[in-house]
Amino acid sequence: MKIIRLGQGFFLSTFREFGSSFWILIFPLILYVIMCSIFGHFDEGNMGIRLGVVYEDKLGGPGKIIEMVLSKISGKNGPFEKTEYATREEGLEALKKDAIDVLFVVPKKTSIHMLRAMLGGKGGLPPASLLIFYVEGRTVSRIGANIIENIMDSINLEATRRHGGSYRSFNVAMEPIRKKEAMDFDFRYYFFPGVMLTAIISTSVFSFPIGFLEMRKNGLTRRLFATPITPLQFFWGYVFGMFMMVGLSIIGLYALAYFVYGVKQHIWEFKFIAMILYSIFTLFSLGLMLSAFARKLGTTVAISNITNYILMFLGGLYFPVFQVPFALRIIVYSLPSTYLVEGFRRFFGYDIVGLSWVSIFGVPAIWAIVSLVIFSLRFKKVMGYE
Amino acid sequence: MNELKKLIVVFKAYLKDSARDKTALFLTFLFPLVFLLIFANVFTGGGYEATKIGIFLDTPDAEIVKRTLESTGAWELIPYESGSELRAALIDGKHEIGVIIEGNEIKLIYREGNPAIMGEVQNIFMMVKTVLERLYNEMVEIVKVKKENYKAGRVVSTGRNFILAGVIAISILSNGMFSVISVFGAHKQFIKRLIASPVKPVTMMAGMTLTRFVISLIAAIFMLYLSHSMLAMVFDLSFAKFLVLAITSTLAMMALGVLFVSVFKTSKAASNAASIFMVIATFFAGVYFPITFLPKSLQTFASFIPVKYVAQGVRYTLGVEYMSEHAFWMMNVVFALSGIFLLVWASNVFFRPER
Repeated sequence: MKIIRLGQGFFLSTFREFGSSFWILIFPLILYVIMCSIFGHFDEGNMGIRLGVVYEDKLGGPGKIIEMVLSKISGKNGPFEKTEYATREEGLEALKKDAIDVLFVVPKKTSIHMLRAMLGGKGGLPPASLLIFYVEGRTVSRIGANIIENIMDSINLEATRRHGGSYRSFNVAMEPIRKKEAMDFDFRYYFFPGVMLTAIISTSVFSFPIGFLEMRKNGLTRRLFATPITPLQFFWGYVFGMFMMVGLSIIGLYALAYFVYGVKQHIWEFKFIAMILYSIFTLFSLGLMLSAFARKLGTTVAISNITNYILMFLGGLYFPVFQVPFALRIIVYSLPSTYLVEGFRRFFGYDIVGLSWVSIFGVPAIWAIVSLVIFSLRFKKVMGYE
Repeated sequence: MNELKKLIVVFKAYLKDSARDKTALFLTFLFPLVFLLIFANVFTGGGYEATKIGIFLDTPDAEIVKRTLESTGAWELIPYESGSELRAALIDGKHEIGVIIEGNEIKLIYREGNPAIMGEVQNIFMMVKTVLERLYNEMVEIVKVKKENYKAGRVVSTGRNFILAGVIAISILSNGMFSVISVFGAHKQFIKRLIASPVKPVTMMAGMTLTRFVISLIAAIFMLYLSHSMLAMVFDLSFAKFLVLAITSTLAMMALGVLFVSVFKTSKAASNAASIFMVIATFFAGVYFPITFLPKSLQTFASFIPVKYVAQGVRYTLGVEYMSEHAFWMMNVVFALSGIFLLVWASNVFFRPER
């Protein structure tokens, strides 16, 4: 009973604190909305790559193919929003000023060169040179340039096919490999576990080490231990309070995902909820281990921040990170968050890197056991009743 | 003692105080570096190895096909004895993408559920057909595409130096904002005691500002040096403009910090609100992903976030992005004026003796 009351007290105290409430309850919701906005935008096919086009040649004959291809991939038909410029200088100026993402230039005599090359046939006259200007550092520019390059290359294949003679054509078919029970890929489902783990990690790596340290420093533990409350009751009360906080955060995220984004499949299954509890257990254990080493507030804040970011970004909560350089990959494969998020995604049938179920449960379990052993050994110090 | 000497004394005192604060030093110098290392590798493909692709070739000239595909330089091909063996390898997670070529049929198989490989899958889908048809047919090449990485700034840009500029911008901005919050928030009582000293409020404020600015600048140069030496990033730093931008943007963010301290009663609340602002600002600053990826409404929202402009300004001073001289100086004037106005106001409010 004491534990429950203490837990309620800690929960209310954390809930009333604006900073903690924001990071644990509100931030995951904002993050989920942002992620779904970005990738939902992609799903709708609205890439909106701004394409500048300069026709230095008045296209005619075979040159018309270029115009046709460009109109097919612009506006409602494709990923580009096309703007024509009178001169190359104007177009380059627009690219420089970031008014467009890619500039496509059809130089003078393109139609004639295309016609000559076509009439000359295989191994004939040199082809017409088309120019693509892009800015490597701008991601959209890079993507746009690659798309245009590939599309223009297909013009040659079409010309070869039409030229007559034997043509060996290849058919390409996509074959996604998914498990029988897997759903169609959907970013709303993909990001759901990652954001949920963000909430658990934030609570764990900040609330435990900083919370215990502050209570020890401001003398709260010493005063409480003068009452009939035992250190163990105090400890469980705090864990229960943080569990309630995380629970509320997860309920909020469930509500947002279910009612706003229509995430309805699998998330109510027993095994999914059991995985949430397992994640809380594992990551709370990690937080307890951090609290075992917390001595100075400043150092603890720094360590908590670093741990938080490493668990989030190198754990692949938002983007898969299995192809990072070897040194970073060692960290990726040793983090519990890597396995937990993969475990959750398995329930939707998303199997990113083919980790075994043994590793999905085993690695976080090792972290939990080691963390709890370390914490137990330093329990008296953490509780401040030595 | 004249005001200049007093300013130097205040500056030295705050510099010593800052040097002793290990957490602040860590957050100023090492934290942005950790960010840089993570994001430069995760988001930009920097340092990535060639994508490993499993391949099964059921065609007489398998070796030539393999060599031709490898000659693109984009993929490392791992051969398999049969299609089913390759599929099994994908199911086991050995590879994420596989290609089966049987006669004229190409099957591009991939493990569904990994958004990071979808770009590569699309790329292979378009390229593999072209490469093979080029190999087997004598091409009638009527067009040839030449791709040119256009230099918008003074040096050729890459994804990495764009991220670097963003991380530096965020580092400068957070330094400026949080320094004010810690000074006016945490040491309010200390400041009240200083009023009894013969130092003018403006001198005191200038001393504190100068300290934070010097620390921000050292941190930024430290990051530039490490990214150049460790990550081989190329940039052409216009130091004078960088210095101006660092000063004005630090001033502006200090002013924003003052606003937070004024609006919120406690330093903790102000610090929390500022943290929230920085996180949201970072998302919409176009640092980690392009703003174009956002829906139109969020793009409009992003245009009100100052971090976006500072990131653009830093890219300009590093020579990796274009910005008109007019826009650059206008931005600096706005930052400087708003910063000076709010800081002078703050010095009069916070250093006013209690009645």
